[in-house]
Amino acid sequence: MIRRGCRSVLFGMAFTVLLGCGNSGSSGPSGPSGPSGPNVLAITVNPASAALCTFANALCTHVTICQPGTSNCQTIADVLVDTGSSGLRIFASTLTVTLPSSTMGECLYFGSGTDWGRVQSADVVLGGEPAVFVPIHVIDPTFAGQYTSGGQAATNICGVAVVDSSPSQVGFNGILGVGLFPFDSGFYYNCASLPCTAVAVAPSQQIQNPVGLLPVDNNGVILTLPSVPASGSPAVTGSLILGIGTASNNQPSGVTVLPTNSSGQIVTRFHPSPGISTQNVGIIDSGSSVLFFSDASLSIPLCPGSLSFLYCPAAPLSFSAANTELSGIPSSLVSFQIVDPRPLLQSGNAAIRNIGGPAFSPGVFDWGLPFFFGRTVYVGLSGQTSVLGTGPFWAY
Amino acid sequence: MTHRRALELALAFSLILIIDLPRTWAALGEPASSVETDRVALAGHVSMTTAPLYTIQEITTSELVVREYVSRDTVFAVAWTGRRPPNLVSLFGSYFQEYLEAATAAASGPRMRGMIHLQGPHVVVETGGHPGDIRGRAYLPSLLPSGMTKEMIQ
Repeated sequence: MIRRGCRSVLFGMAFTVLLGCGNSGSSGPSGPSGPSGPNVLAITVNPASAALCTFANALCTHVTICQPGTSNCQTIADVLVDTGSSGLRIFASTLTVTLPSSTMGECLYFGSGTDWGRVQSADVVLGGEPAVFVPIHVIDPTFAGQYTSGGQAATNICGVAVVDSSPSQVGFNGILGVGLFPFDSGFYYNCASLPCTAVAVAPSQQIQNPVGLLPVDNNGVILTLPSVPASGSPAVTGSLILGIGTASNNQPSGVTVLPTNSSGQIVTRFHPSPGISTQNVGIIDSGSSVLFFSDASLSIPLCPGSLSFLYCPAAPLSFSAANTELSGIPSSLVSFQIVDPRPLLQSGNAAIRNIGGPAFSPGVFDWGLPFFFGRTVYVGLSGQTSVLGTGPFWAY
Repeated sequence: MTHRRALELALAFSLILIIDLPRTWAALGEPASSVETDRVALAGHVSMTTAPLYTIQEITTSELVVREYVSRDTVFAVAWTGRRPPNLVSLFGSYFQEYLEAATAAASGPRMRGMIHLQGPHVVVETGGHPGDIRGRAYLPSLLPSGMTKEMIQ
């Protein structure tokens, strides 16, 4: 009862904070032609004047974090929007609000990095939605003495070379995981005394996808981004809409629904050349900066130096791949191009649609952010039902 | 309640073993017999596949699968997939320092996300996946049997 009362007060307060923060470039609906409402967050590649979220295809938004049950809130910009993970993660060095203390730590492994830090509860406000009380990951390499402030191993509880160390190192203030699942697949540790020990944690204490806790718009999200030309764009702005079919601004029409397996995967049949089709595990991940795919029949040159994870073909290459449900039906053919990205990157364009690299694991096809340009993509939260069916599913 | 506590303690204890005894593991560049040390450290079971150019010793646990590729009695490549990576300090052995240096250089500033390709003087490390399905592989290019490509390591 008390908490409910706090919530409605907090909603009003937090909304005031949002409107009052003066960050008009990244707050509120995406413009006159885009959807608007309390369930809409602006999402931007390369937001104007931002010092962070400036690397290629970094899709970011802002969130508000409050000390639970209070109006002591902080709006945090430059938070990566990630359909490949679940839960909110913010660097401790970015946080100015005080959250309830905690001795629980978490290792969360991404494909290209690892986050270590405390698990702390916060009131999280997405757009103009009511605040949700949820455990978040406060990224801090030095928590419990595991890593140096630069992310180098000390005790090295996560067992990796380095962990993400700071906003300036990774290029964003945090990650908003709005993926297919309510929980985050992390590894939890009790660090009340050292050494930290692995613990099984009750679901309510785990880091959770805040979308699933919203009162109404809780069955998934929609990402909509404008298309970009083959030469790229300096910046693009779109919308992250909360809920599927729960409001007038999130009613789907004419989409293909692709239910996933329990790991959030579909089948992607890649056609590297006419007449050839290879089956891959398909994932749709706004947090991956490019399209990652491989095929034994391909011999596309890699870029030199620090871009060696990207393809640098001598001339533009055109491909297609069909995304299907595990059963093979329905199927949706997607065409794409891969070009030498160096001129585009050197031009200062941050939104690039025709950029790709090899999937070191030949069986994986990772539809990174380029897939989202010019599309509206629906993320059906696992266990929740909408007009498109019960999650987990992708639809577009 | 008691059972749950016991389970938690057991889980915690098993993790401590893995974390505190990393250097008892086998590693990249070491003899095939060292795979058994990994199996014990991971508390997994091993199955073996023989291909013309190499053998694969696959260690399976509840959290991950590690494949060690052996030729001329040497582990020349490792690959993993699962909810988490194996302890790379242990698995890479003397090559961990090379990996650390390459990873540190790559982490010196913002970079595109998704998959990582790191190259040291003697070892190549590639990682990818997403939370809940983490994948990676590492190999020693100079020890790859002739006729084998890195795509075969998965």
